[in-house]
Amino acid sequence: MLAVNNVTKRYRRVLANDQISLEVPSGVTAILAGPNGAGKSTLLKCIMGLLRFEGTIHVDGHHNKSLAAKRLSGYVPEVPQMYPLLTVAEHLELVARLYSVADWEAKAERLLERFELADKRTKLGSELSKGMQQKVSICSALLPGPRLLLLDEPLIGLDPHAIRELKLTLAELRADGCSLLLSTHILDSIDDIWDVVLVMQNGRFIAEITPGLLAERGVDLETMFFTLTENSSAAGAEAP
Amino acid sequence: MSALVFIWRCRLRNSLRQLIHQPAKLVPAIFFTVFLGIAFVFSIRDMLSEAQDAAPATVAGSGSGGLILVEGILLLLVLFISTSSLWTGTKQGGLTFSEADTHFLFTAPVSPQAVLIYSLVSTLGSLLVSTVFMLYQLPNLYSAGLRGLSLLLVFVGWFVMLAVTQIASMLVFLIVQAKPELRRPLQTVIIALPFVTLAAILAALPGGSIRSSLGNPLTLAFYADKALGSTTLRLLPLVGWLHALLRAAIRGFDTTAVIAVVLLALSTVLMILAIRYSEADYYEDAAARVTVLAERQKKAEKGHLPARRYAVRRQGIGRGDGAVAFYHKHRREFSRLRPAVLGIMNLVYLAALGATAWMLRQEEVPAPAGSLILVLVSWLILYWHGLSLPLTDELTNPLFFTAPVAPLSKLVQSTRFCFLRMVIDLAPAWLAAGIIARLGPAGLVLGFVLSWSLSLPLIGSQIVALRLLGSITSTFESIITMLISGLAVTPPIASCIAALVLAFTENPGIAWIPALLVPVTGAAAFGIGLLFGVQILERGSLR
Repeated sequence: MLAVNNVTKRYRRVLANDQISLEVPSGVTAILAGPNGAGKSTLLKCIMGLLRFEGTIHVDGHHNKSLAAKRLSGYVPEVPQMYPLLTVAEHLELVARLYSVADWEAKAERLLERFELADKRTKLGSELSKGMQQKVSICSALLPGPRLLLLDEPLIGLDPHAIRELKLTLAELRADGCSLLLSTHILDSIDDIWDVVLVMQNGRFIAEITPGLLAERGVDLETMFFTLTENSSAAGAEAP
Repeated sequence: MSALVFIWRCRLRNSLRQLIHQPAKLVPAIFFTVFLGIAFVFSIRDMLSEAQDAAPATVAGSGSGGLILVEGILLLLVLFISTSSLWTGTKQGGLTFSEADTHFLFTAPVSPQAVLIYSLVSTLGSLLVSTVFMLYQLPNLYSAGLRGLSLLLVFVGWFVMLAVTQIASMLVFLIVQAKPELRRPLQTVIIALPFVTLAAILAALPGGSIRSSLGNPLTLAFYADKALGSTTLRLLPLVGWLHALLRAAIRGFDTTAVIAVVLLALSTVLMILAIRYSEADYYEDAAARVTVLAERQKKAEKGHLPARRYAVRRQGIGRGDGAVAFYHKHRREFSRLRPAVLGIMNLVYLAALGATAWMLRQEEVPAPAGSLILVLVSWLILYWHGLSLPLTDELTNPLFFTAPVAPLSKLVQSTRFCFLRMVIDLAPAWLAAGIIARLGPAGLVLGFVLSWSLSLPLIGSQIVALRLLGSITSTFESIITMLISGLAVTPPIASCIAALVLAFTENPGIAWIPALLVPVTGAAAFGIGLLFGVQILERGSLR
């Protein structure tokens, strides 16, 4: 579903992504893990066509900046951004219009109920708390029924109920054949939803962890992650 | 495109609803509208009375000179606005997106070109609203000799000028995006624009005409008219065409004007088509611009602290335990905000008090009266400046509430720095003013103390406003705070004015007696503020 080939992104002198390549097939949940500044959010923005980059990105065979690719993709940004003068319901209606979603009212209603936003539907964007905005952002990404869903630190700011619902939703999407790519640095929050963890540091992938690999080594994800990132940092620090 | 229209519709409808349901927004909106309305009505009244008073011959006579002046001013504005807009286009363009646009529109299956048109139409809407302010030029245009249809056409021409320069700016941005190597050549062309315009004006004048017309208004008007109506000037791309349109609105259409307006219309259509079908990948730059603007706004709200590393010896809060830590915290923040201690406010006070002192010296005003006048001048500045003190931030800071220290002690330590800052801001200006106005040591010291003591009611009233409103962030809250501050400073200011009146009597020394009431009444207001502050800290902020 998602194919990223040799993507390099520079912000002037800073190399945010260095020759990144990855594939996320249908029905697979990939996690981008790494310390702050590793380049996770930049990669997600490149995939969504928000940044210029070198290399190629395809979504179901379509160039990532094409309308066909965007129609298949959903994105939850790290910091939710709402129109201050649009209500919750109007945000969803806007998304339905942008993506030409049929029967959107019923779908929107289900999402609002699921994320406990039903009583907030008439609230303006400017009146919502950060957590509420994050919920609206998630609902907006889910409404068009994406085949590829990118989530940038989606659990931050959510209440326990919303975290549970989001995890259930992601599991359902995976079962339905949707490709998921999540970035996070809170590893214990994604224990039960991942198929592969791609560890990033300094703009590069330093390891690919699978459940099979963890079982083989007899360690948990967190231990493995710290072993990899701290060893890599130490090696980087020792390098001339 | 229906989704984009949906955004405008919802924003407009909800902003109107919000205005109706929120007095905090409605009251300032009414104030503003009434103020503008009154100003407009008075302008129209003046215009009509002028029209009645003036004899027809005079109007016609002043009219032609006036029209040339209006034309000249409009040409200068066209030149300035188009050059600056195009220059902006080579850097960031006239793209106006919100943070929500970057989230919802940039990631949606909508073509970037449609999103561009959305931005363009949003900008044109704002320009249309800004054209309303041109109505206040109506009396000036009328007295210059413009009537009826010409007046209307000037307004239309003005809006067209703003719109076309905006479209051109956007196109320049997209060209530079697609081909960065064209940035420099385009910038060169833009810089050349005023020079080419000037050359076109000079080319229309016969040799020696400027020298011969100096000192002769009629000859000057003749040559100015000739230059402004030059065919070369009016057929210059963009600036010339826009000038031709505005001149035609004033003087009527001739063949050159028709050609220029047709060229302008054609080029505008072509520019819109070029934008519509542009392949430029502008999302990254537009999103970066949105982030930069958001950061700028945050800095403007919170105050700018230069990004730099601080040496270890300069780190830390300072000596002392308990509430005094807040004083040292303010001191440390201030030293980082103003490494040279003196800042812009010192210059403001120095300029205002220095100029006043110089006038007092010219008029030979004696010490008590001079000091009191300087107190009133410094109060005017203090009234505005005093509304942005660190104490406001502190009273919304959770640490200030939770620190295990007596509330009164926290307030005193926090306000202690506010008073010290007032001394830093005022002292150099007072010293200079005292020397210039020859106030003498007593007049200088007493005047400075009175001036400084006006910070007492200002700080006190700010605490009271915070207790009543919960915060001072919205326009409404700021207006209410100013009203409370106005009430708090009334007794000290009244005392100061009473003292000033006495200073001009036969026995001016008696003026110092009511002047003493200035710090006394100010201290009383500050005391009330402290009581309210203790309430805030004990009960918690309203928000």
